[in-house]
Amino acid sequence: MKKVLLTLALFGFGACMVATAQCNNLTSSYITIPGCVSGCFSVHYGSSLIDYKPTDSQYNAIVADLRSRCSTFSGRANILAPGTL
Amino acid sequence: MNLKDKLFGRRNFLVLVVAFILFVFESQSQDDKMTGVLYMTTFNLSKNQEIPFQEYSVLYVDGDKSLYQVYVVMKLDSLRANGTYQQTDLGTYFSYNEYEIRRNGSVISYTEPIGEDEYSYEENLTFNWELSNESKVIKDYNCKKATVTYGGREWIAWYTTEIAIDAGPYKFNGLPGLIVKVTDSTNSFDFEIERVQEVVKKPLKKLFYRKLEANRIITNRSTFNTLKFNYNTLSLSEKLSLGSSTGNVKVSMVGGDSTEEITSLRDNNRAKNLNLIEIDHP
Repeated sequence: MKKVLLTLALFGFGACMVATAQCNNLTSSYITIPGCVSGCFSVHYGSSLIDYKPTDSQYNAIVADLRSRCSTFSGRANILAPGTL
Repeated sequence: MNLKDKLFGRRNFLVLVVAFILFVFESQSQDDKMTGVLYMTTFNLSKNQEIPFQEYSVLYVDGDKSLYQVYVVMKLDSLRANGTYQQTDLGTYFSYNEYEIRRNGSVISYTEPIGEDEYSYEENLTFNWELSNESKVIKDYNCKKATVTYGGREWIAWYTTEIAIDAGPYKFNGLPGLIVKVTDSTNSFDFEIERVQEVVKKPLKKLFYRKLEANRIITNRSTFNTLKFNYNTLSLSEKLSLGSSTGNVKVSMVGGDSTEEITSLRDNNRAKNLNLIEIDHP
């Protein structure tokens, strides 16, 4: 039983490490649209190839664009409901 | 006065005191409460959208004052206000409808960010409802029908006098009871009640604004709606480039062995298919 719990804990920790380690937090931001796309996104200014981390409003615009592209994505699947008002 | 009379008099006095305390306490606790209404909003932002977006929205009503916001936007505001916000929360609590709609009597105060800026306008709004005798039961409430034209759309509302408060989702108000459901004639926008509950009074304003009041752009409804329409016709790169002094801004998905540029070109069909809630702008 202990072994099972330890394995599950390690698996969970590993999965968490993969999710956070896949983006360079200084030059990109992690975006996930459930059932559609997940990954690290960077912005580039002018002809520069240097990666920059999106600002908050850029991040928001990228999420909005990705969501509208996910034509088969159901908004129903990602509804967050309040417990109390 | 004998002992019996004294005791009876004292008991009556105590009963009166307790009743008075309870009355004061009850009055105060009622004064500390307002009405909270949860709506489910269903909407299509594009005329060719196959699956509509859905999200919860919250209306707080205190007399003739109210606050209406999308739930996830409210949640994001609270994270930003208490300092626990992380950028990925923008994805988790994303909404296309970042507006705050406050009402004070007939005056609506509307605030919404577009790109890097935050805009506000005030609107003196009296809905010219046409009341009908048609009725039906929605979510256990006996409702009556009313229709109105607003923002370039025909709206059909169902209100209940069982909850005798003059309020509704988005900007809608002015009926003899709470609006239980309101839908536009193209079925692109629908607000339907989920539940009503008494909540503790709180300030009827957003918990977090992107800009200080002095830095918000004050405009009017018509100009704002034109700006919003124009912004939504831009490509992603054009949206990201707004306000940038270094010209074109591109976005790419990085990681793994390749870097893939995300392009969304200006699309004339985007403007044609755009389906905003208010369409009576120039």
